[in-house]
Amino acid sequence: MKLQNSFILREYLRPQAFPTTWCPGCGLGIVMSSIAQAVHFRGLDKNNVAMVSGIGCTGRMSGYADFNTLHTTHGRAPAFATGLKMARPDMSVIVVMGDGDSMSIGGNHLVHAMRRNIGLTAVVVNNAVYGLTGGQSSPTTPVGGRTSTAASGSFERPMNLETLARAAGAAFYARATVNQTAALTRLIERAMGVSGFALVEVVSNCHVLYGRMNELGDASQMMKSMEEQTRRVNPVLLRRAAAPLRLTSAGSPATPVSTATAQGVHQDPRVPRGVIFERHGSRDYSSRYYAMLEQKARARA
Amino acid sequence: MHGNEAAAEGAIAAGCRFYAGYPITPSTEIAEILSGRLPEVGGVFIQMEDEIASMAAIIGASLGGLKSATATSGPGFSLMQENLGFAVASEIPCVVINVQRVGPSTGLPTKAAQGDVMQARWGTHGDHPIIVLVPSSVQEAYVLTVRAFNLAEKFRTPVIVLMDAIVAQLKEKVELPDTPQVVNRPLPAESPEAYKPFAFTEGGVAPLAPFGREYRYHVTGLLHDEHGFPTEDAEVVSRWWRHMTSKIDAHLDEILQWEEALLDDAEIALVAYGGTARAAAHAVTLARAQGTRAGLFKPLTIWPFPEKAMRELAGRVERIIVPEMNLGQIRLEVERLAGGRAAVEGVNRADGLAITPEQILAAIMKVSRLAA
Repeated sequence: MKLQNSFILREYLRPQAFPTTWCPGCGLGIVMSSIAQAVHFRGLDKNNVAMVSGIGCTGRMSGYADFNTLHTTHGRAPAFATGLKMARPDMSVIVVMGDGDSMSIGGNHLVHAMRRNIGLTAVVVNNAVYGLTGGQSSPTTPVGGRTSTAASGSFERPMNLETLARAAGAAFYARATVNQTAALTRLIERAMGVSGFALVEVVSNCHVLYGRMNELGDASQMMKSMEEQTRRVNPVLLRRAAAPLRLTSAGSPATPVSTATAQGVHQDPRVPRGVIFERHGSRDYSSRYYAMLEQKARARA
Repeated sequence: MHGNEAAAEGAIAAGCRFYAGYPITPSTEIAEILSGRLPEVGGVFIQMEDEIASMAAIIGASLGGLKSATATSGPGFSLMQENLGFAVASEIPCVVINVQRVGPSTGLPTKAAQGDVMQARWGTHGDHPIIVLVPSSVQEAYVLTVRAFNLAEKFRTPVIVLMDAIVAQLKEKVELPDTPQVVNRPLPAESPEAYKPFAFTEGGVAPLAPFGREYRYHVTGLLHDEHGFPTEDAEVVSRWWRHMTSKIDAHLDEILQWEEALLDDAEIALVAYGGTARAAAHAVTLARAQGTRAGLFKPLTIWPFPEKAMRELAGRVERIIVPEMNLGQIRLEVERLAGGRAAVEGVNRADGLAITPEQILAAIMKVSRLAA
């Protein structure tokens, strides 16, 4: 077993870039700290880790974390990261995106990164609102949620990222909240060990905009409600949740999420957190590509 | 070989080892050829979900240390503009080959045009330096593609190879040099602590360390300081601008290329580029046969525009004719530089058909009668 030095967050940050642009109480600091811990406990060399981000409050994270960092254009982070990973398949590439960044403007890139099953660790910080631009509706704003572009409540149906990830072919999907930090760290750590596209959705809070507009209280109250509105998925159930994926052919979309996660138990309105699914036998696209190159080289020799 | 093939081979010869693209007529052959050629040389070919992603991927790969390119045509070129600007702002070398077809919109997808000259210059938002090369033959498609990679590496900027469908689809004989001159990316000489990835040097650029070495730095499309961190300090931003413009302006002698034919005694100069320059060259021959002293100025670098040479030319000749397969995009530039010293007019069409030597000759004869 590899002996780990104790984790010192500062070693993974860039003090010269501080203070952050984030509001006090924002979940993004927690997410950044969890990513740093995950990198640390996986024993990775910072020089060989890249963080690619898009635009928005979440996008700013790459400026503060001490890796090879790339702060890209809005929604395009998975495409930049795909290029980087294909050029440097040995590198651990973490992509951090917000909900609007990943599911709205960058939806197509996310879908195709998942379809290709390229070896990226995607962390999607979902706070159901556009924060940096001032609280507009996002693709995950719940029906009825008030935003600065839906003053009387959103009436659009929110995106189900989990189902999308299953259908598109992601290798791994986990959900965490910024209120359960140990689990968040563990899930990112686990996602980083996946060969293929691994996605961790992190439920976070924007108490300053969404919280205020919907009377959800301050940061601590919003985090408390994450406790009430989510449930940790039962480990036995986890295996069952993964089962439908094994039963279907490797390329086909899995059974709908409602049947997958709730098999054998009563329906629960709370959102599950933990590992939601993991596709077995997954192999990173970049490693498959380079294996093909080697094969071609051998055939020529 | 045809122009698209020459561009693909030029890319390989220049050391391009990463291509990301999305199929679009009339540039698709470049992707098809590179999908076979790149794996042969240990390189990466990836077909992306769209042109936005293609442009993004080549920037990511370039940061990973590979020389990278994409190819597209009008509508795809429009989609690339956002991330093209990112590459400009963050000084990431890469090459974009745009095979022009008739626009706007879906336009005439299989027909040749030169309507993207201004888009190549100003397509992305905000002021920005850019280098754009225009081949007028298959040979030049090869040579200028190699040159595009060299300039991209040297000046840490995206370089656009602006072909038109005439050159791209034309088949002719080419002579490929065994080993073209290739500029490779140097590693920084200084320690990671002292490294400034975006150093503001008068007329120079810092070496770009690939990701994955000990140089961990930040790359952003936000305007940034020498270390790459975002800044809103007007003083730093104005130093950034000086750096961005001087790195090109200080090297115009190296960047600008053009060819002149029979201009020494010419009264009428043609200014033509790309596929149209071929018809213009022939029109010069026809005009000379009829006793009219015409000559040809053919830019190979269209942006930055050869301003000094054009001013001089306008002082030398009485009339300048600018034939181009658009409604007069470069004519306006020539007019501006001529400043009234030479009369400038265009021969234009954007209906998908090539401008013929006879059309240009007719324009030459018309102005030569006016002069007489």
